Amino acid sequence: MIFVGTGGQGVLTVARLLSDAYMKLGYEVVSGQLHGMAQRGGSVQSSICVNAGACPVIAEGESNCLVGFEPIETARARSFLNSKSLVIMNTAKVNPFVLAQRHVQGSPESGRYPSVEGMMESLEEITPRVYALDGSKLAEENGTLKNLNMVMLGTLLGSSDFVKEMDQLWGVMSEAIPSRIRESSMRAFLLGVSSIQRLEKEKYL
Amino acid sequence: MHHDVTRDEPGTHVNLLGNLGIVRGALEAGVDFFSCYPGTPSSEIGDTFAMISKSQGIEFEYSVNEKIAVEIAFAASLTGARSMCSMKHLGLNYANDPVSTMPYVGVEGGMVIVSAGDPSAITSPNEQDQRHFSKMLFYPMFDPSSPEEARRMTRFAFELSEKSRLPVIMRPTTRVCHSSGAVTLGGRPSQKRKIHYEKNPERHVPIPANARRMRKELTERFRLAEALLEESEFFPQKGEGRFGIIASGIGYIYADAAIEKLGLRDQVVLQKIGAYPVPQKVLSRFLEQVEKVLVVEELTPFVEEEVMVCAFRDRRDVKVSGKKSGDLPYEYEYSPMIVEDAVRKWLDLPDREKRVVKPLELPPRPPVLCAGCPHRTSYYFAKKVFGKKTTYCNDIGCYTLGYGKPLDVCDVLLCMGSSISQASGIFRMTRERTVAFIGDSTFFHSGLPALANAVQAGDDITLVVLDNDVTAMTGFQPSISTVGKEHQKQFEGFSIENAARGLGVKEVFSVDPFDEEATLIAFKTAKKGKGVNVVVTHSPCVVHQAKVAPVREKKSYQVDEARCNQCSLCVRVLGCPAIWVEDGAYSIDQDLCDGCDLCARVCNRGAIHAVQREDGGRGDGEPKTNTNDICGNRRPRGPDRRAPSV
Repeated sequence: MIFVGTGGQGVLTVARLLSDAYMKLGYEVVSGQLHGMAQRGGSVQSSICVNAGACPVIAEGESNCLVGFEPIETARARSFLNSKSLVIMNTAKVNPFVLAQRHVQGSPESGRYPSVEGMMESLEEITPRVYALDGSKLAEENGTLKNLNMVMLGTLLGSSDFVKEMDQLWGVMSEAIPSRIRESSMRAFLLGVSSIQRLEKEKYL
Repeated sequence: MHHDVTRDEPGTHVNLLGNLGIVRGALEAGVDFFSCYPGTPSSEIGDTFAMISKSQGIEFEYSVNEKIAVEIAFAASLTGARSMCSMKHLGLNYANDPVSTMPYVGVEGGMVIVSAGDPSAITSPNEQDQRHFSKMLFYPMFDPSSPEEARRMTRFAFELSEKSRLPVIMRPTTRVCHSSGAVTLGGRPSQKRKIHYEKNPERHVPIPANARRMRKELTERFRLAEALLEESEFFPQKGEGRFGIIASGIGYIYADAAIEKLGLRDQVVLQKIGAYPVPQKVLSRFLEQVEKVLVVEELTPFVEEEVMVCAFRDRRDVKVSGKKSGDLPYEYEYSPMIVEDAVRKWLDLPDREKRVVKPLELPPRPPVLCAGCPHRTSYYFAKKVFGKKTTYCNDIGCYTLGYGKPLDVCDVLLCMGSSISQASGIFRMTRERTVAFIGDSTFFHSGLPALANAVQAGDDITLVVLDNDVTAMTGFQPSISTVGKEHQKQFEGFSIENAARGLGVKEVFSVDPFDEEATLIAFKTAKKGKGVNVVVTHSPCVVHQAKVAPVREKKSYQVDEARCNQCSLCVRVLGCPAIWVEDGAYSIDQDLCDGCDLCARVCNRGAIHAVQREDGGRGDGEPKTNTNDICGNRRPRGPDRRAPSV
């Protein structure tokens, strides 16, 4: 599975928590991260491979799940997907700073944030299992945007792909979360869980 | 993660980053001393030692530069201590003077240098293959593929170093440094080593007469290292068959995955190369078994050439494929796809099924100076005074992001500390005042000699030292000018201004870049000055401040739509990531805005206003203790009061 987003969204933290949990439960797990200069607003990518050999880098078309914390970054990772992949995308935009520059130096058109619907369609051309939600709004309603990663984690583990593992994984992960933020993290996680379950129901009813 | 590194529970599996596998290996070997200069992708090694050194009884320092880190660690080894120092690939170049003679002298306690490589130059100005140092300077060198291997190799490296009396290099690459996986904890020594410096000038002083004797011994010691490597566990074989793949580093993992995926285990022998020099017997044994060979290694055809030489020496008619045959690229990082494609082609298998993903135009997300970054303010005012025609020489750090539009204050760049010497060179030929920008950490790393050189030559250059109190780019490590608690000691921090004066600079200005008037006066005076002058712009890194000293209440700025006439000036000159344009309307992202007020000053129409916020913006609301509890005790923003402004 692949987590993508921008610097500061908590992508690396959630991937580390999840891979630690898998390892504690006895799975064979390797993970990789790409974060050149993410602190300065760049793209961040983290991959987790469970019982899939020793290679921490996922090959094109071989990711089962993609959790995107930001629409452009989700679309950017679409080469990892295949026709069975699960995609969960946070629809809240984080504006790449180049767009404002393009807007004033090139044309207003070139400086426009790409259409989120268009990016969703491009993902749906590869896999029908694309779910979009405003995770940032859910996190903020739950108190702070810092909980976005817990919301997104909830959407992943709450999906039908993780029915068997969710309780066990979350049990181990929540122990690793500092006690002062455990309760709010739990609430954010459950918001994610209920959102994905509703979205899946809507899609298949 | 760092408490997993120190656990004394042999046999337990923990999830560790490759860099932490190295730390763990060093702890298992009983390392006594550690020094480093931070550099991606090696930084987590030093940052972890910073956190654990006190509790583990390890002498630790962030050194001023890599050369010093190596020299100190080497001298520590001469007292019988086991020592380690870490840096990125380029740091090894900087340290190459001591590095090149250390094998002659030889170590007493085991010594391991970590020099992390960066194929694809992800966070570096070049990609280079440090393995050539092994051959050139007689260094045993390890090339791990995984965190567990990094642990085992590091542990073994200390033994090898002591037995051969050679310092040893660990060379992980970005992909290994920043991947995590299961590490099986080994035991840790229960006793500390005896430390004692025993005088032995004949053994420790490489004057020519001694060096010539040492040279002879060096050949013997390097041979011994090769023999020890040959018996080590780092050259395993997997699978069987008449074809052979020989692979190193992360390339080994990709080759292994390709063999598994293509079902080639009974046709292809996979030979791992985990260390250098590659023992001749390992290659001879491998070439005996196979008809043709594919070499999978990143960067240069280092192993490939060794294989060719071995084939020639053993008179084996084996076809060797790799970079030289055009089967694999010379440049950049490899990927599972690149290696799988090469294996398919090499064995005449059908091409990988290429999936067609419709192209989609997506805007890139390159790194950018943060909203509120004081460097932007320094750049903006410097450029306002020195203009577009002046040549701007820049240096290595966050502030390199002044490259390109709209700030455009990076005309030349080379390496750590080069801004000052390059400004000298350009002035010497053009006779026009040239501007150099350098950060606080880089200034002390290698800027001082260049500044002395420029002063002596009387070059008309203005050096702007962008002082943000930390080595921000690599994770906010303290620099030597940092005020605060470092290594559990209260540290006053060196004054950049006094250092410049001490080197003979007559005109030294010290300003807060957010003090527009003072900053403009300093730059204007510097522009008219003669010879070298220095402007220190001091304001703490905003991201680091948000981590260590978050505020509950702070300002941020908003655009008054009624007043904004969409002139676009703020976007065109500042490049602040918080300013956003949508359908012609300008707005400021309240989550990103740090309240620095530069845009409000730039706006001609007075359309940008401050608003009070209570959530404390980017801060967490609760101070975090960073690596070493540094900078808890901060110098106030603004001119350095220990060095009054001229």
